[in-house]
Amino acid sequence: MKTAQISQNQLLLFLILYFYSTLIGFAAGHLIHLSQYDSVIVLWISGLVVWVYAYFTIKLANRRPNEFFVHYGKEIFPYWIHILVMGFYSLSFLHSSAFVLREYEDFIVQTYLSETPNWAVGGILGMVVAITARLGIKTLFRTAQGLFFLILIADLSNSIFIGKELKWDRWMAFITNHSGHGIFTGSYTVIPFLGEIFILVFIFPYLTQKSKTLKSVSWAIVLGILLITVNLVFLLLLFGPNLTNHLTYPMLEMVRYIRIADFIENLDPFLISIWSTTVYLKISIMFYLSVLILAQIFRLKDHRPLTFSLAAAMVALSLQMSGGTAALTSYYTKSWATYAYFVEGIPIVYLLMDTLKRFIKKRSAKKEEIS
Amino acid sequence: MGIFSKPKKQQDSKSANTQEQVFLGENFDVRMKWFKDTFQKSDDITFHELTANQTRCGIVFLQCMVDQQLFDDQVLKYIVSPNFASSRKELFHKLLDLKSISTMCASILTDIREATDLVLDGKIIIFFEGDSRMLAIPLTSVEKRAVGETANENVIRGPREAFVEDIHTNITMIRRKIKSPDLKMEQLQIGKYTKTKVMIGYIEGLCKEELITEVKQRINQIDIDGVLGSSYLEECIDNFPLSPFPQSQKTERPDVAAASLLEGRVVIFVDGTPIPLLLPVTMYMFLQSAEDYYQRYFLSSFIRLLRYAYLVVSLLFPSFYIAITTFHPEMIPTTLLISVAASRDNVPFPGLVEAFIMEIAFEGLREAGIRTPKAIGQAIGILGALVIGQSAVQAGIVSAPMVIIVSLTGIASFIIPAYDFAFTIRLLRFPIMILAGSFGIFGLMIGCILIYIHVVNLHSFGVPYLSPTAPLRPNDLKDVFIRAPWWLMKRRPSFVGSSDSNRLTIKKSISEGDED
Repeated sequence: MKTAQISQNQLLLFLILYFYSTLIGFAAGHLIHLSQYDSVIVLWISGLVVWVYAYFTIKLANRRPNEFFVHYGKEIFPYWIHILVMGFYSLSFLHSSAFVLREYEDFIVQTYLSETPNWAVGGILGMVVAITARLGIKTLFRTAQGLFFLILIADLSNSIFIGKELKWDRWMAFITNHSGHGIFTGSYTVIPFLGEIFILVFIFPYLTQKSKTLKSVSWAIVLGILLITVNLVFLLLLFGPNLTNHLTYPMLEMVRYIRIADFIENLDPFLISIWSTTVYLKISIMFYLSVLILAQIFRLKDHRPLTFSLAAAMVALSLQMSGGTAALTSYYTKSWATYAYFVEGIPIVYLLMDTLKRFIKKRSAKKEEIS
Repeated sequence: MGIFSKPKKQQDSKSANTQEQVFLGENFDVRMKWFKDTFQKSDDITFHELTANQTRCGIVFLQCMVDQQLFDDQVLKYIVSPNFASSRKELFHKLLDLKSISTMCASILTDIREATDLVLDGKIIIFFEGDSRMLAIPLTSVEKRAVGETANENVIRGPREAFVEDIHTNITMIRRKIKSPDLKMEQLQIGKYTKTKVMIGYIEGLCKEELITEVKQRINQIDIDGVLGSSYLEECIDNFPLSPFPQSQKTERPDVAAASLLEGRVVIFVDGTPIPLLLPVTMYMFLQSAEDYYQRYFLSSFIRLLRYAYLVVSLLFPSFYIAITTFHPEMIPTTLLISVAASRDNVPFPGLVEAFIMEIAFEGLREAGIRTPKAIGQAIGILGALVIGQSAVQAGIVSAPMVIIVSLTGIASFIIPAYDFAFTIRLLRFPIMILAGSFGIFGLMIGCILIYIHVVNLHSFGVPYLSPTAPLRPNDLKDVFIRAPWWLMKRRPSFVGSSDSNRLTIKKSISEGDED
């Protein structure tokens, strides 16, 4: 497989969009429900924790920078355990992509296409995701690089136009209203969100200038959180924590507040479609990783034959995974975070095991030298 | 390799355009018979036999392509003159060894098949009894069109001349602009029957070696009956032949071709075509016009931004209208919504069908406008304006806003300078309209993403199609969305990867004190 195709700049821009996509679109309401005015503090605490986490995952990837995790993992854990773990990862990524796809299907159908069935939206977006995955990771990251500026402009114009609607006297609450419990529960949910940065372990051989990865990731965390913070603060200043908490898609409602010179009444379909591209990117990378890992487990030379069949599975899974938005939200609010800690913790276990093995090897080598 | 990329062919090391050589020795009759057999039933070929210095001499040429008067005066008169040579040996020595005739560029050959090809190329072949060598004299005289004004790529301020069909005239125009020995023109011959001359032009030192080799290799692999236009080659050397996007730039302007040579690109001239191909290409080049570099940068930048805006209009405007009227009426102000709804009230078709009727009618009108004889061209305009515009609205078949949308889209597509790229955008409008009619803005987004990922994946001779935005090269952005002033564009675009990236240095003026 051809490696070294993604520049550090592409990685940086991709990660910013990756953080921004669903956290803003689908999770903002829940975060504000948990942490209220502490959401900003929660974001930055989570950023810090995730930076430490990223440091260790990059350390693991850096030990064998030109090899894929699926390939070198068997040197760390016994072969069958590793294969099972990788199989689990492939399924987990497929599930994640299907989950985000389902969230998006529900969102679009409820908001704009009330008479369109979920399968139609899922099918067409699934097809685009499959084509993207088929074209490979280089296309995916280049796509993100091009879309970044469009999304940034859309987000900034959103922020500028919404400015006059905000209730600025609420700002005091950011200083006065704090709750330790809110910060803890909020951070518990946001850390695994940002912790999805562990996908780096799987795509590390594709990166160029690998030594700069931590720097890119650090910038991505800072800039990504900055972008999210601005949006969250605006949400809190516009609706306040209680109303935000009761809205299914608070960002959508915020965008709907925009009025430009009494000409454009509602910009939301336009801005939402631009934001949708970030969701598409997130689904695509998750799906691509699922396909890539499966191809690597079966030692296929090319991942492409698997894309369309797995995409069909992803769409089917997205349609069947829950009875409705309520069940989906309940999974997200109650179980997802803990499950995500488990998934994201595995690379750390690999790192520990690898370090232990190296340590034992060194010690035995020393002993042999002495004897 | 993507869905639209070319399946890899087995590379044949032997060039597709080589043919076996034939040597027939010193015998005069055998060679004359070969020519007569080869050119039998070709009454435009002249076979002439004469004796010069007691030596039989054969002359073969294509009547309509040779300046006979010049041949008589400069060659024949001397050969038959008894003063020219006293013996057969001296005749051969003077003619074939020293080539002492007053015509330049005469060549000597022994391969009779090559001689046949040269006859067809307008050369005069002279051969003698007793010597296997033949003399090929280039006294070609062909009717050709004079250099005229550009027909399609017009500019307000800038050179007016355009390429013509004759390859030599075209190359002269380039040589007049780039007076450097580093400008190379390598000739190839393509086409089993047409034997068309193809010239690959590049500037040594600015153009990447790999690019030149790749272009030559791809052209050499083509084994085709005939090449009657550069498009024949274009489609054969494309990386992604199934893609609707053009992967090489075409121009009729020598200044554009010269500018692209100076950027380190390759220009392919094909004899008989006034439009050479420029390689490699990025999408943004199709939105640049020669005018941009002749006007001041403020104006050029504004016009260029306008072009991008109209590119979006050309691709998305009808789809956007369909999406809004069908799915998102809340996006437009109430008063506008009411007037749109009122005008659509009598129309029996849904927005999508209405848009399709109008778009297809417009495309038909456009095509008819190009193909109709000039004398009745005006009628098309009248028919179009009355029937498609006014009457269709009055009859309640289409709504007035739709006529406005289609007209604006039509104008928008003509603002894009490159015809083939504009056409691609016009074509892609239709599937997006279907998506917008089915899924609203979400469908529009899906359509755009599909086009976008395809374009991201495209590349022309190794250069990504969306370069310098994806992959991002900030230094090359000076000539993409805006046209930066010349004094800022000091470096050549890096995508061609030339070793000499420096393009401009401005020495500090001596009279810096002239500030007041």
